[in-house]
Amino acid sequence: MEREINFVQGRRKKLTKSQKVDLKIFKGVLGVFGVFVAIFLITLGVDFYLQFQVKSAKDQQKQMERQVAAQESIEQSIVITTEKLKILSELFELRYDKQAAIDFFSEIFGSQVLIKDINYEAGERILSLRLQSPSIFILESVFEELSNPEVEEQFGQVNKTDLVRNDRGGYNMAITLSLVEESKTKKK
Amino acid sequence: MADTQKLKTTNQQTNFRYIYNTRKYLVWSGVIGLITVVLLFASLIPQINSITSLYDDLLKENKRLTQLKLKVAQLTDSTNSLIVTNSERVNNALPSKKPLLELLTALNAVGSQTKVSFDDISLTPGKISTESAEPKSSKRSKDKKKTTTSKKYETLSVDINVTGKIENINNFLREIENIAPFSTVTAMSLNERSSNNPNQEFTDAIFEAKLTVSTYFFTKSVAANIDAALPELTVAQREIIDALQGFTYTTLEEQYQIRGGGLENLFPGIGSIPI
Repeated sequence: MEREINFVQGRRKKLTKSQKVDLKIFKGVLGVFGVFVAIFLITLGVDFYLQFQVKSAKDQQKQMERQVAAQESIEQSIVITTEKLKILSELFELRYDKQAAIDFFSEIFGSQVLIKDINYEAGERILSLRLQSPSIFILESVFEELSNPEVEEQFGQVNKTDLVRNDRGGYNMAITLSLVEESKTKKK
Repeated sequence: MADTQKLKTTNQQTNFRYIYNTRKYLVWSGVIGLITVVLLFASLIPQINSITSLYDDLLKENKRLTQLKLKVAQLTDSTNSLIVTNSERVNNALPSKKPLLELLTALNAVGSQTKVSFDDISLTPGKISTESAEPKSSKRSKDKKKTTTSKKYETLSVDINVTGKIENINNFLREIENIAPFSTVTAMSLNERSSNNPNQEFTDAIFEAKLTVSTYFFTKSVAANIDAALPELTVAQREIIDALQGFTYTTLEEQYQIRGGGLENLFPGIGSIPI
């Protein structure tokens, strides 16, 4: 009786083992590929969503811009008025300093000293006053007042020039002072 | 030799076929892995970069949209705001053109109110031509660098001589700085007029005051972005608005047509001059 001998029996087992390993690897790689495709599809979806949101935001912006453009005259009025208020604020400040200085000196000199001339350089913040004193005694008190530490504190150095005796026995004198920023108060 | 090469090729083909038949799954794993890697670098990573940049764009656009919505709301609510309700006063206090007539009208009104009389009014003329009309030398234009400075405001000065009692002149000086357009006395010279009455009181003496009154007008160019927020008033600006409430405002009637002075027609019966 012939006996069949299968020489490739062991070999098939070997092939099946490696094929099983390959199959596992194949399943793993397929899984990874599937995850990759899922991630890709999600990112694609997110991309489309963000593009839609950006477009929607831009459309709304155009609508808002149309509404703003329709009220351009109001905006123009507001912007110009605000700019003018800034400038008026500066001008008020400059003028207040001058007024405060004149009021200050009028008060300390009293009613007997007449402020004859006033010259104010707004850009340089320099105030020049020409005083008229009826007598030497009142002039002396003017000098004392000008030497007062309060005057020096508020206006720094006060220059006294052009002392002249007039026909009536009175004296005219010019004083020049600088209106420094630190000296101002907030009263308008 | 040819047979040897043919044998080699056949052997190689047989090897590939053998590998495919025996390691089919591994081959396909390699192919799919390669496709995954290629797609990762060719599409997924650029996709993620695109998403990142789109997200940044979205944040920027949303921020701009919020600014625009706020501005629309501000404009809608602004009709009763302090700025809008006082814009006319502010424009009268600091006009956008030379306020010569307005100043003269206001000075006249204050003079009448304080009972001083005007002896003389003279003006400091402003620019009569633009910078382009100035003569330029070719040498100077090469050496000199032109710088343009935009000034916020310009000044118009008027010299006036007024006479009156010292009290009236003091009142005039005080009131003149409460008129619109905003004005400042930048120079003053006070002289007592000689009197024949030696017993005259100081308060009754007549003084002559020479004043230089400067007023200001707005010359700044203003621009605004469509999505920039509306400016808000500061405390100092609110105080200015309060101060403007106490100003004296004059109404200047605008002339739209030539008004006849009742003069006699020197050319009666002549409709047009023949050429």
